[in-house]
Amino acid sequence: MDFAALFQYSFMRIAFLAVLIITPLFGLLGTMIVTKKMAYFSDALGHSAITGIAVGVICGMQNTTVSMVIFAIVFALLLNWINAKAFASTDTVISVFSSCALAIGLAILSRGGNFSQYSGLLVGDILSITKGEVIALLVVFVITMIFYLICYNAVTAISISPILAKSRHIPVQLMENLFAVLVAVIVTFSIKWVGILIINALLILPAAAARNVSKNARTYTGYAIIFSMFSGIVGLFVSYFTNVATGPMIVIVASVIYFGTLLGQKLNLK
Amino acid sequence: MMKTRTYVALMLAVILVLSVGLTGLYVHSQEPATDSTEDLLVVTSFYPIYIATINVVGDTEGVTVKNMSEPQTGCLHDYQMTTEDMRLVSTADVFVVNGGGIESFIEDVVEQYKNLYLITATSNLELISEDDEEEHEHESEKSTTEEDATEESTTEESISEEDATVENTTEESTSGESATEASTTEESTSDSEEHEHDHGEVNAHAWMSVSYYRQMVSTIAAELSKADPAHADEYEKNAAAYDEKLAELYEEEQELATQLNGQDIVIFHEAYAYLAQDLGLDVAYVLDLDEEREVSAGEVSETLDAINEHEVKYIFAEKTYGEKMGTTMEQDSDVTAIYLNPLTRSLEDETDAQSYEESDYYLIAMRQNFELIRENL
Repeated sequence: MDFAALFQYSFMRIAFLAVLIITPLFGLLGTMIVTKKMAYFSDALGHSAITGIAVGVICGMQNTTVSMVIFAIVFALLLNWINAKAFASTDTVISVFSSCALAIGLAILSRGGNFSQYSGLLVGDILSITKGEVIALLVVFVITMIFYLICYNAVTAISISPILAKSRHIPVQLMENLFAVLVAVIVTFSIKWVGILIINALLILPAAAARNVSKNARTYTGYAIIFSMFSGIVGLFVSYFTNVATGPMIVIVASVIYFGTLLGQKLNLK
Repeated sequence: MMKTRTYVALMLAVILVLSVGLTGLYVHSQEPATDSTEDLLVVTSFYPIYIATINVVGDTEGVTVKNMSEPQTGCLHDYQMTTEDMRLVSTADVFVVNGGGIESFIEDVVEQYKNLYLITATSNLELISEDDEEEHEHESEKSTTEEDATEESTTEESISEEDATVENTTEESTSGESATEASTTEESTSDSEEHEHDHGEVNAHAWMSVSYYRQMVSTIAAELSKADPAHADEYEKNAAAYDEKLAELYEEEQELATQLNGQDIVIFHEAYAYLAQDLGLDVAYVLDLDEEREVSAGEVSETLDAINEHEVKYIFAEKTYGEKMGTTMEQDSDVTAIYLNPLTRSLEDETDAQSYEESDYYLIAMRQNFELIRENL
C-alpha cells in the first residue's frame, strides 16, 4: 500500500479534487433534502439523467453532460409545478414522472441493442472525470454556497410550513424552484462517476446519520458535511487499493457511519 | 455518559482504522511477489494481441509482456478501464493495441501518458468497413421486395461509400499514432465522453484473418524493434519463426477455402467477416450478436430471408451469444450453424482445453475452428 504513489496519477488527483468539492455539497444539500422530505425527488432526478443522455444522443450533441443538465433542470421544474398543482400525493406524482422519464431514456438508449455501452452510468466511473468538469464543479460549489448563505432560513421556514413562510413574505415558489434546480445540477454533475443507482444514497445517508447525533440545525449541517467528506475520501482510497468502483465504496462507508450513529443514539449521548 | 462530539470522533476513527487495516490486508494478500522495474514492460490490450506479442518477444531477456484485461474479458467492446489497468499502463513502456476503434479508451490513455510508445497492430491494414456490412443488410432487405435493377445500384453505392470510409480510417489510424506527440485537441476528449458508436466505423476484428494476423505480427515486430532497438534482432527472428508456423496455418486455410468454393454464408459476429474473407466466402448477412445484445423479431425474419434467398448453407456464430439464434435458424431452414471461437478468450473455459503452450494459442484455436468447419462440410 503506497499512499505516495497514489497522487502520481493525474486521474487520482482529479478524482480526489472532485471528491473534495462535491462531498461537502452533498452533505449540505442532503440536510435540506431530508428536512424538506424530498428524498424521493432527488432520486427521480438521478433517474432522469438517463433520459437526459438519451435526448442528447438523439439531438446529436457532442457533450451529453449539457443535455443531461438541461433535461434535469426542466424535469425538476416540471415536477415542482405539478406538485404545486397537487393532482395527487407527492410521491405518486414523482413516481409516475420518474418511471416515465426512465422508460423513455431506456427505450431510446437500448435502440439497436446497444444499451451495454451506457451501463457504466449505473455504477459510475471515477476515471470519467475531466479537468473541465472539476472546474464546473467548483462553479457549482460557489453558487451553492451563496444560495446556502442567503436562502437557508427561507428554505427551512418553507419546509416547516409553507403557509407560515408565505405570511413572512418569503417567495415560496421561487425558493422551491431555485432549490430544485440546484439539486438537479449537482446530481447530474456527479452522476457520471457516482452512478445512477446510488447517487441518492450519497445525498441522504450523511444527512440521515447527522440527524441521529445532532441537536440543533448547526450541528446537523456540520456533522452531515463531516460524514459526507469522510466517507468520500475514505471510499475513494479504499476503492483505489481494492480495485472496486468508487461510488459504491463511498456509499458503503456512509452506511457504516449511519449504523454507527444509530448505535450512538441508543447510547444516550449527552 | 459520553459527549456526542467524542462519540462521533471515536466512531470515525474506528471506521478509518478498520478500513485502512482491512484494505492493507487485502492489498498485502494481492501483491505480486516481485516486480522488477529494470525490465522493458510491454502491455497489451487484449488476448489476441497478447498472443501475437508474446510470440514476437519470445524469451528475450529483460522484456516482460503483460495483458491488461483478464484472459476471460473477451473483446473489449465498451470496456471500462479499471484503476488497476490504469496503473499497469502507467508503468508500461510500450502499449500494444489492436486499433480500429476496439480500444475506445485509447485517447484518454495517450493524452495522459505522453511517453508511452503506442503500437497499433492494424495500422498497416485496410480494415473491412462496417458501413459495407450495413449495406449488405440493406441489400438483402431491399432485394426481397425489389429486383436486380435496384440491387445493382445499391452495390455501386456501397462500393463508393466503402472507398470513402477506408480512406478516412487509414488517415485516422496514422493520425492516431502521431497523436502521441501531438497535443490532443479538445475535440477528442469530448469525443470520448460521448458514447457514440464505440466501435468506430470499421470492423476491427482483423486477427480472425490469418493473412491479416501475419501482417499484424510483423507490424508489432517492426514497431517493437523501433521502440527497443537493443533487442531488434531477437524480435525479428522470433517473428520470422512465428510467421513460418502461421504460413502453414494459412495453407491449411486456403485448402479449406477451395473446398468451400466461395459460397454465401451468414455470420452472427462481425469478427467472422475476416475469416470469411480469407476463406473466399461471400457474407450475405451479418447479424451482430454481441454481449447483451437483444434481437428484434424483424431482424430474425430478415436473416431467414437472406438465408433462403442466397441459399446459405452455413452460419458462423459464437457459441455464447449465438447458440440460441443458431438453433432457431436451423429449425426454420436448412442451414448448419458452426460455432467458432473468436479467439478473444483463453481456452481455459472450454472442455477440450488440454495443457498447451500459451504462445501457440492462436495456432491451436484457429485449427480447431478449421476442424469445426471441415466436420460440417
